[in-house]
Amino acid sequence: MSGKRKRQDTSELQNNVFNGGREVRMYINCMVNINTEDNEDTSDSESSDIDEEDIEDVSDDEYEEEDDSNEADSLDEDDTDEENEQHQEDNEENCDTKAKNKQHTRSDRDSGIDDSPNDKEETTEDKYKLFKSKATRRQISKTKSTSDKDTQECSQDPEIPDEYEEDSSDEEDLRNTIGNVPLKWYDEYPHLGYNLDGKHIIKPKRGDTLDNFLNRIENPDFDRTVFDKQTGQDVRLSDADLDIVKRVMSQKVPDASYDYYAPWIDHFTYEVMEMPLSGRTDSKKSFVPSKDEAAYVAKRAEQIRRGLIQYTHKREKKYHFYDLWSDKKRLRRIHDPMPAPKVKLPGHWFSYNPPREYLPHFNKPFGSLREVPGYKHFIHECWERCIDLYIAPRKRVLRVNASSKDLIPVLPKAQDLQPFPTMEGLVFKGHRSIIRSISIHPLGKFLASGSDDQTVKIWEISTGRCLRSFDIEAAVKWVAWNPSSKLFLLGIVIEKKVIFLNPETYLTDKVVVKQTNAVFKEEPDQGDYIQPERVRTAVTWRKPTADEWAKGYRIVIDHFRSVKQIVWHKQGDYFATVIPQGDHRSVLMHQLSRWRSQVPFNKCKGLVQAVQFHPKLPFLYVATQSHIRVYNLQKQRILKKVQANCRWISSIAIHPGGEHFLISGYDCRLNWFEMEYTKRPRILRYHKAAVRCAAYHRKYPLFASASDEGRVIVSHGMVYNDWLKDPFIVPVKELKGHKMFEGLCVLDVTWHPYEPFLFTSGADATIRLWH
Amino acid sequence: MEQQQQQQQGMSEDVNLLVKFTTKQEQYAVPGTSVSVRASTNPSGLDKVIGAFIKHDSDYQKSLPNFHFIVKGQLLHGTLQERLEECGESFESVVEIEYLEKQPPPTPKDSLHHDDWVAALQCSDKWLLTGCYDNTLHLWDVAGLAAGKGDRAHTLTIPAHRAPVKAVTWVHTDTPTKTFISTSIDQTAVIWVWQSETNTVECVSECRGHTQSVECVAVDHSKQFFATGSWDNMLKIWSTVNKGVEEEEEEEDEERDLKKRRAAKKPQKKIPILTLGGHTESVGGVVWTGDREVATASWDHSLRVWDTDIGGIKSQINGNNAFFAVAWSPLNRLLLTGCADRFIRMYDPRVTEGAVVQQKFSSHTKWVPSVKWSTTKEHQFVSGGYDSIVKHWDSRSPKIPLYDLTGHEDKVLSVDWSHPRFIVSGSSDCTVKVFTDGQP
Repeated sequence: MSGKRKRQDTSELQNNVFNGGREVRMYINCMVNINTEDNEDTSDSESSDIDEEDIEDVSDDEYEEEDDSNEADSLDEDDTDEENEQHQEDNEENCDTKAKNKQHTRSDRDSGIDDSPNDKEETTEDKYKLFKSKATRRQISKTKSTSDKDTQECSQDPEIPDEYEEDSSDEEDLRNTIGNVPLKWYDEYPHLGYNLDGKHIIKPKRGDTLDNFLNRIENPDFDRTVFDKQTGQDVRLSDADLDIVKRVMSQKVPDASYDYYAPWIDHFTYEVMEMPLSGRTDSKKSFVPSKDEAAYVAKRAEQIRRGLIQYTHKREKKYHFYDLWSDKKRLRRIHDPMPAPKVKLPGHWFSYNPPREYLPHFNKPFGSLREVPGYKHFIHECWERCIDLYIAPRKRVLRVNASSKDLIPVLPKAQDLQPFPTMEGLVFKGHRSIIRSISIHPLGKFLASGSDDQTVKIWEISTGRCLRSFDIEAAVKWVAWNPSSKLFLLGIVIEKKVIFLNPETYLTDKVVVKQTNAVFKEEPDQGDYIQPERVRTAVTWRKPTADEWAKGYRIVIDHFRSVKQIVWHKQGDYFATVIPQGDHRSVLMHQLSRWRSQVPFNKCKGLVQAVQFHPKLPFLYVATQSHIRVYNLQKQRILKKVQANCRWISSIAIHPGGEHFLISGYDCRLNWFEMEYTKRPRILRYHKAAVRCAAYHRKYPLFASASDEGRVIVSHGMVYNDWLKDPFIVPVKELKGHKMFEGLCVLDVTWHPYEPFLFTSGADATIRLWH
Repeated sequence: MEQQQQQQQGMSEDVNLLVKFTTKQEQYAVPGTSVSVRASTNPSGLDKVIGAFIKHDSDYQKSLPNFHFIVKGQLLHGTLQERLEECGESFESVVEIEYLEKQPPPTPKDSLHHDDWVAALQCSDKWLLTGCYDNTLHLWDVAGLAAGKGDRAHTLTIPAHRAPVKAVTWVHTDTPTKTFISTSIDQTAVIWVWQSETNTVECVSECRGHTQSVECVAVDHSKQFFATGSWDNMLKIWSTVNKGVEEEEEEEDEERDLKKRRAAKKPQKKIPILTLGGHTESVGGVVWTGDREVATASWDHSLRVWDTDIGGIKSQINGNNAFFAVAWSPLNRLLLTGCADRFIRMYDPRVTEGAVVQQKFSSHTKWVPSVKWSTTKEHQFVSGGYDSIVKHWDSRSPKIPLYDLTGHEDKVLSVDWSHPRFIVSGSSDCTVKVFTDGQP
């Protein structure tokens, strides 16, 4: 829209506004054009001089145009009358409450409701007002100060008592007391409500359309008169009301005097507190120093003085700054940078012959640089390859170089564990059948062996010479020398008999031999001792016949079933015999000096395989097929029952220290038990066949075990006095030499009493000494 | 590489040594000048060098023998270079090589059959005495052996003991009335007098005192005392002289018939002059190392030298194994021991500090129950082992014996070299093998 057009519009509007008896309809028009007027207003403020002149001009033209419009409008008067009403109502509703209030106040001021002359007065008054305002405008244009205009206006309107103009306290219209109900309810009645006294407020006479028409023509304020439904009267809007209406319609602040750009005053900020929160004066107490605080400070000071409180100063955080320009090659955030792998620089030949994997098509290397075909991306690809290599993610892998050998525990060299038997020293030949058992005399000079060829032979250890041979009537199952130094006696087991033999001549001290003979010459006096039935039926002691005596027999003990083993107690007076099929009488204890026997156990669970005496204490180890029971013979009760970890025990050997024992089993395993901790034995699995027997050396930390595969394995088994230290077991030597015979090979192993010599008896009718 | 090797070989071949030959055998002496020989020369090469020298210098007409060469105290078996490297000697200095005539190998002369294992034997100048496991002693004529008569040289069988004989020794061999001692498992040592002319033997005295088998016996140089070691850990010193001690009346029944078989005259019972206890195990070997000095080897891993005057231990050498035998030579005053571990060890009883083992001879594969020094040659000895080989050693050659004397089929139980010409050995194959040493 051009500036000229604007000006026309505004002049038209001003015409509308300022001519007195215009219709409401015109007023509506002016509503439509409010926007343009706004624009003008803004321009107004910019150049006030020109505007004033314009306004002057407009006011001159005002009345001329007014007539024309009146004539034109009169034609369609009737038709639009109803509409006007409607618009008016709508207008009222749309208006802001303030505008409404002003209407009311305005109507309020018009005291007589029903008398129209009042109306006229008012209008004259308004006219006068308008005139005045015109005059003031003129004055303003003369003085050219907008700010003074208001004050002048105020000073020039002293007669209008406008004290409560802005006061909204009595905004309710108290003349009609029907409340907030739709007025159409009163359409059928002559009144439209009730006044404060409870009397009808009679609807004022509206007149007919002719009156209305006349009114419109005659009344200059017609277009600014609105109908007040509440009171049923016409209300003429003042200029101020119109102004408010206009401002509201243009969404402005209704108050024209409102300054948008007034300087903001901060009464309360975090910086300024000009106003106190409360008006109370500070108490007197607040100026007196606090006793509580004084006491607290004194207490803390005292504590600091005593050193109870120590102030540890916070360490200042050390900042690390990345030194961008340092010479050190430390990359940012990469703390442990890995350089790209160093590749050997390609030589001349490789400069045009890349590695084969890059060129799958060229199988033939170029002989010289001349033959290399041109390729424009060559340099670029080389560069990219290098970059690829350089920025490829790398990871440092900590590889553990572990080989299978590292898993094997470090064992000492066998040489360091010497002495132990390493080679065959002697072969004792002479038997004609399987040698079941061997026993070495405690003095270490003789060896006794019992064989299936029904002989017992006594050998000289140093030469391997058979010194004596005794014919026994049956296959010999077990031989055992009496450990006592005062008796020279060999216990022999055949079938159901146990025979004690004195090999006699020259093998040992004559005195000992004589003594031995003397002991067994006479049967000891039994006194009033009566053998229990259980024992008597099991064992019979008897003196040998004269023939037998000549053969060397000294005592013969007949058992009720076949005997397997005879074990001497270390003192040589007591011995135990094992009868595997003896049911509850499997183990028998005998006393040699008194010719007495006893059955130590009322019950025997399982088949007893072997028994052993503890080397130091009065304990008896009884091995059944899968258990070992340790009995205290003195207290006559069981000490321990050990699960042998073995399906079928073949023999038991007790360490000379007494704290350990060895169990060999037919299931190819050897178990080393500790007396104090029998739950987990050390299992030695180096045999591949049934282990026949095992034996400890009395002096050296050695033990040996023999199995049916024909091997005898010698192990170093060191036992420490420190109870926490485990025994140190190292297999040191595997001895082979015996030949297989009927699936049997080595049947017995024994150690020399003080030399590191091992004796093995085999099914091949030889005894071998290993040194 | 090949070239390098060749070069190395060439280098080694090119290494020349300055050697100086010396000898104690004057008939083969050569001028004492240094000669340059190659380092890779072996004994046969040196033989040629020496031969050339001898022939050049003198008019030695006979065919030259072979020689042994002693380099740095040991006999040379390989090349000079190896020997010098072994010693850690430099090749720069002059190497002194002693050479001596190589003896001809001992020749097996005879095999004497016995009824049982031969446990002990000793040769005098004319007669060989053997002790057997069948309780008998046998006397053989050495002259007959030399003539190769074999079993016909057997002179006398003596049913001497009630148990196997363990040791024998001659005492007096000069006069026609000869004396010898035998010990046995029957816990006695018996002194015998043998009239060689009439071939009659008499049990002069029976030495009782040991409570177990008497394993070894040795006679003093003065022939007045003898010492016995036994399984009862005791060493006992006896007098050979018959002092006419009253014999005991009490006798066991069993021994009666044996006594009858012995000489009509009842043997005298002897008691030891001195009993030396101290060994914790049996005494395996005993030898006199001086007039009043006895050395014993025991199973308790110790060698002890006893003073018979004061009756106590003079010195003790501890070993690692049980000792079975000991030998001592007046020529070099060194002890040789046979151990339970197949090595022969040489000890010097005068050295008590540092390395007590002077030399270790390793060639036997089993136990060595007997060793004997030569009575005439300072450096030579023989040993018999359970590997049924008798070895002839030079003490300067610890790894390789001079000769292996084979022939036995079972354990060699005893050897003897008392007669300078004869090496005899008794074995458990019931034979005695006779070898002549040196010239046949």
